[in-house]
Amino acid sequence: MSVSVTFRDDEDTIEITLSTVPFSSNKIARWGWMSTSDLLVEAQIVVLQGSAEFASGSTITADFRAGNAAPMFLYMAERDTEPIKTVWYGSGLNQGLIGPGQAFQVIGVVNGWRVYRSNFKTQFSTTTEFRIS
Amino acid sequence: MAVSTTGPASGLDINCYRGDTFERWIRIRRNGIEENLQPSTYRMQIRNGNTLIKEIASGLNPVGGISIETMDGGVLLLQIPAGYMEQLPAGSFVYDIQQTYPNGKIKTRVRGAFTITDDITKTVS
Repeated sequence: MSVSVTFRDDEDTIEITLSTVPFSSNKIARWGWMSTSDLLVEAQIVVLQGSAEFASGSTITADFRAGNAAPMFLYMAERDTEPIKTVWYGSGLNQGLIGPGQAFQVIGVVNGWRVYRSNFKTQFSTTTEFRIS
Repeated sequence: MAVSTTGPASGLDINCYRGDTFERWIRIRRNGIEENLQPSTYRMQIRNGNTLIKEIASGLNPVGGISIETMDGGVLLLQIPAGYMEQLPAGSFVYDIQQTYPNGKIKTRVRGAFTITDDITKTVS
């Protein structure tokens, strides 16, 4: 059982939840697409088009297809407490490493969010996995 | 969900049982994102008026404490072992929890009632 209370602190909204049981260890990841390649600010990350919770340390499966009819810069953001992802996988013919010069790379960390972005405007016809190895 | 206009969060009352292991988890979100709790220290006191009933603070030790579980930013785990819970009196008290930031700023984050129900099965002496 848990109870939450929300209040204002300085300019921020604080939500405190007291629980008699441990919280889920699942981690949220967010993904989306934009026409520009800038590093996102947190306000942009939290409104990216897709999100889901994944077991800590597991593969993240993003789905860029809904807004990806035309090539766009693709973004994925995960909490930086998670192990960094080094491989992306779309299909047997469409996969590779994550890093500088690759299809995806980490472009920065913003308020605890590690942000991955495609190097070019691109599009996927499958879901896209971000794997640890 | 209760909403108060200013901190600390009130109404987060705790009911526990004398002689049982006490565990509660606290998550703090700032603007929808888990606050990074790691750099801060924490202190919780339970009082009956001016009388201190129990204090726990950052770090786990034999008498209980406040630790941080590794999650997004962290979750506070309040713990008091059963052996120390059975030394506490049953009754209705109040508590709050202070958060001290690395720059020395102190914020009282939570306050509420702390009720300890007397147990029946006690340690044989």
